[in-house]
Amino acid sequence: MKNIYELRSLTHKYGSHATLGIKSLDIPKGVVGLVGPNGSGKSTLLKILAFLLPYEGKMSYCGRETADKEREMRKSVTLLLQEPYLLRRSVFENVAYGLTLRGCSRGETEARVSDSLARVGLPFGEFAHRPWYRLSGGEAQRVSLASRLALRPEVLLLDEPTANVDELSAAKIKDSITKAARDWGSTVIAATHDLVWLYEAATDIVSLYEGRAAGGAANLIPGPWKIDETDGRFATTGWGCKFLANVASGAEDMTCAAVSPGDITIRPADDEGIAATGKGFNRARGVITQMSIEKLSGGIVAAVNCGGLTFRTRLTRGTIAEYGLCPGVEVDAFFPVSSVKFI
Amino acid sequence: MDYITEGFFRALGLIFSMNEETWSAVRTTMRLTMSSMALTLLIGLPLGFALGYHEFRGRRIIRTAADTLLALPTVVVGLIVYAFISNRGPLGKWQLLFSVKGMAIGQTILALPIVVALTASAIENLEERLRFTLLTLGASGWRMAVTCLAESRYALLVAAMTAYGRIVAEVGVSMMIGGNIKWHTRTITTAITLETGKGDFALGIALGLLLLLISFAVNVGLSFVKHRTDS
Repeated sequence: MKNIYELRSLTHKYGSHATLGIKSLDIPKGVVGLVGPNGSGKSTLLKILAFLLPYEGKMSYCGRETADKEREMRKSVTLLLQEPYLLRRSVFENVAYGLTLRGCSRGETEARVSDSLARVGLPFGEFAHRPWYRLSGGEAQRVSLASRLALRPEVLLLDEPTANVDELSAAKIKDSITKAARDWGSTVIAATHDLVWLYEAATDIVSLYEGRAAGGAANLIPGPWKIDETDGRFATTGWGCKFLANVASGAEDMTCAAVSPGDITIRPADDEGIAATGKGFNRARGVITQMSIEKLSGGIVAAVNCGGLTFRTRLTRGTIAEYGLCPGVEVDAFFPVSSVKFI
Repeated sequence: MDYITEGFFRALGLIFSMNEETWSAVRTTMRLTMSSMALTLLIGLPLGFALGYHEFRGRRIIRTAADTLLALPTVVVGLIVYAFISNRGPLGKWQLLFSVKGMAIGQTILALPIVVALTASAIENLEERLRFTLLTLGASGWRMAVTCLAESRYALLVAAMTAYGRIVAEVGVSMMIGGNIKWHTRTITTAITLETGKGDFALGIALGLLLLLISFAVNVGLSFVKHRTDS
């Protein structure tokens, strides 16, 4: 079984406001990143994956339909909230809480609490009996993570685990997450803005925008997409240039489109070159803002900012050397119109 | 004014001389209030949790009813309980009238809205992060309830203190259900009413001082518990 979650026509609403509308999304086992701007639905999706929020549609976990089995499935999945909540108890009692609920013996509980605290860099002797109010923000986040690690979960869901902590705590948190995936084979699904760490650690990336989601580290192009009168294809012009999509690739909802990183080519900015591309290509000028090594492919991922929209594309070392690509270089990005899919 | 001063000194004398009649009223008061409080908390905490935690049809109406019953007159409670436990009432065969047990039932009804309403309010004010945290760590059912109540323990202590204040100071229920029977159902408050009616202000003041001392001791005890759980 490659996919840990499979979502089909899944929607979630807060009152009358739809926060998620996912047509189809497969989340594979491994370390999966969730990326997207604030308000894109990352936290809501994580809570649904943790079986904490109701939803409409279909979701399967480890190949089994989740409907009416949430309580049972919740035992193997755990979520670390963006702002952790510590019980008004000692650190030991906080980390041991989930183990106590699972009926662990005292000896096993102590051993797991000690191991989990060590994993997040908090010495047992120094921290175990400390009350919740004598912890810094970073320490509280690490204690919260330790309480999840103590459960040895099949799936560890993390909502921006390093967003509000100092560098040392962030490093310890990232290290313990990587080790959890390695030591226990846990699937880690993390919403984060730390793209450097994400490309280092992730085996897949899910992109979200306004509740729409696409896997495979897809680049999202938000709409509104409308029929272009002169061209007959779908077009959006909100990003300083016009992007086109084939009608054939469209669906009933044109809120957001996606392009795979593998479909995007970048070359140093050249007015003649960009003019020479045919009608079958979308093109945009931008600046390389970031380059990082992708764990999965071993290649290099470049982020290009085109009028506020960020495209990520994979580059070979040869291409980088040939064109002298590095952060700050102005480039043109090309991708076939046929590669644009609505999500 | 003399009779007030005299009353105060006589009160001290009564307290330190271990006057048997006075101490009988104190013992009955203690036994009654402790029973009522135990019963109130046993019923009120789960009800308050259910009302504050769960969304269900008619919840708002029940919540409003609980809030309204905070001002329940003691004599009305006394009247209703009397009607039920008197020999002609549906619970008459249990012989609860003019007994401490019957008085405890009345006082429980009196204090229950306080504990239910304040517990529901405390649970409603808990952060949603707590609920998500407990669920994701594997809590459900009664474990969820116990942890939520433990997390709002300070608010619950305040609820308990308020309910105790209502119980220990009431006269209506004790008088109507207990009948103020000497050595048996006479409490400090009913004794004060009786002695003041007879013109024995000194004894009334003495009993009043004792009542304040008991309330003070209970509140100090609860504050100590709060302080202990704080550190």
